[in-house]
Amino acid sequence: MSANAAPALAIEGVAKSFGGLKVLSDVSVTLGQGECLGLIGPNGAGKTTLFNIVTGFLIPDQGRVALAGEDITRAKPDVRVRAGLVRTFQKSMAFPELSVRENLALAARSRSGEGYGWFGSRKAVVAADEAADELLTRAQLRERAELPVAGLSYGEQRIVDVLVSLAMRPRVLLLDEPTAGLSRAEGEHLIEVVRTLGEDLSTILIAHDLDIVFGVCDRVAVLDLGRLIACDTPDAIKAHEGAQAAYLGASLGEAA
Amino acid sequence: MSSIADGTGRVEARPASERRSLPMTAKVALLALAAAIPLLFAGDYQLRFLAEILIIGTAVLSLDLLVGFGGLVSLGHAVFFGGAAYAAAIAAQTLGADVVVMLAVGIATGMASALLMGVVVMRTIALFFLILSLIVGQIVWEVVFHWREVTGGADGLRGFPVLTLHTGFATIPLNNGVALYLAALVLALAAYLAARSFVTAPIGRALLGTRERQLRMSALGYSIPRIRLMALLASGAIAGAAGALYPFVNQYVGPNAVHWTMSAMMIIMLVIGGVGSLYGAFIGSAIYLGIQTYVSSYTDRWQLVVGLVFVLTVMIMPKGVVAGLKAAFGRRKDAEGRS
Repeated sequence: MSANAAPALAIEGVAKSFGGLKVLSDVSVTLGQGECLGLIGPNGAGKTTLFNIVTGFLIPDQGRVALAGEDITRAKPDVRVRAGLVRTFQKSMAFPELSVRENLALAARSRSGEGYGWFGSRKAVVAADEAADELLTRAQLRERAELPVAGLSYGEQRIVDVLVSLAMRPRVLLLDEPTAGLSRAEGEHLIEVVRTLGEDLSTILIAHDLDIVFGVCDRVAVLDLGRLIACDTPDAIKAHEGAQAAYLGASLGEAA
Repeated sequence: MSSIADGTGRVEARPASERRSLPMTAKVALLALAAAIPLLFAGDYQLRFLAEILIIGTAVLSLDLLVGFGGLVSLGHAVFFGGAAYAAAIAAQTLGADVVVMLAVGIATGMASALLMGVVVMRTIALFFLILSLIVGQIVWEVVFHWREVTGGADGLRGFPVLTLHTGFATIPLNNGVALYLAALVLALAAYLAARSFVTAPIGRALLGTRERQLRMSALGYSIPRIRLMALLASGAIAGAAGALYPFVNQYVGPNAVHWTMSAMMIIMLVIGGVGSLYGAFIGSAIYLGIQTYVSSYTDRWQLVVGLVFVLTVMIMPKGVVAGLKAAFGRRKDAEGRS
């Protein structure tokens, strides 16, 4: 990364309250090009709220969000997605009754700007289907293409979720607990899929499995009660007293 | 809501191999044959009646785009249809009733009404969409009802010039049952094909997505207002084309054509015929108008019969008459196949 290049994503002094409840106060984090940043913290720390602000589902009370140097604080969610900022959700958000291929194609057409075509859009449909099949092949799910998503195992559904977000060819990908409810092996496989398919991708990963976070992330940010209490390399976070005291304590001991 | 809206996505998502159906050419031949039969046996009155069924059915088809594929139940749909009917009737007084001009006027009016409706209701869903579309519809009704000089007020408009088709070397008057029936048939077929191409194209898949999961569609980078507006415009154009022919078949257009009860009637036809099936719109309109026309000669309480049919449809065949009969028939065939 050259010194003057803008970070992939910059969050600056973001604050958000719901009624009298301060959910985030003065949070600043940057995500470097190609970096994987872990975001951890106890339930209610504000991790998902931060994702919602970054992706445009919430507007912050204060602060700004910039994507590759461009201010997107007030841009609509769909505009941010087309600019390359893509997220997954805690709950699987695929269309259960649509086929796996159609789910991916829906995303691919959105990215190529052909999602609204009517007459003469045959070519776009074929191209999106091909893009979908290619991703499925690389994730070794090609034989599942025709099945409705509801017919897949839970682990496969979570991978399809990630593939849908990759079909939008993001520059920045936010993964909100992609491994929740998965076995260790399934979780590792999912992370492997992201790493092999998403070259040059900058990622923020929320996960409760600290082994995964410490294992794959370049840096880890710790959020507690809406404040960023540390943001450093995994080793430094493991040794960080504030982070330990506030949240990690026992789990860090186990993970280390 | 969900039970009504459920039918569509799955039908479309089903792989082609699962569908057991006739080859395309056989289907077209059967359809042409079915369309030709009335020409041989039906009188002028019946042909006009069939034309009305096809025209109203086309309007219901356009409603199906919104309800069946977008989950947008509108009580203002009569504005697209009735507004276009008025526009065509009024334009005919000065421009003459060339069918192409009438269709252009109708489609433009339908799309303009859809745009107006879209601006008002774009950011609402479900119940709010229903109520707002009702309010917009009733505002239009008030205007039509009170603007006597142009719309004829409560009396409506009648006495139109003869609808004509210019073919280049001859001008054909469309003033008899056969001609009106054929014109309505072409309209219905074109509308059906346009609607079908809409729902199978990316825009149709996106519309289906907004019905199922709005949040996900935003996260996928789709603009929900844009998708809905496109659906409204397509729906308005089809309803407008149908509305343009309506005055010439019905020989009258009155404020009832834009009243909310007209919208409600279209919803009932749609539910009877099958939400999300497209062709069900024509079946529903045939059943409703058939009851209205033939039962009303025996009793003033024909609406009771419509109500009964409606309730029975919802209870026994929630996906509509055609899908219901098909399912019953299919089951029997399956059983025979196994034995």
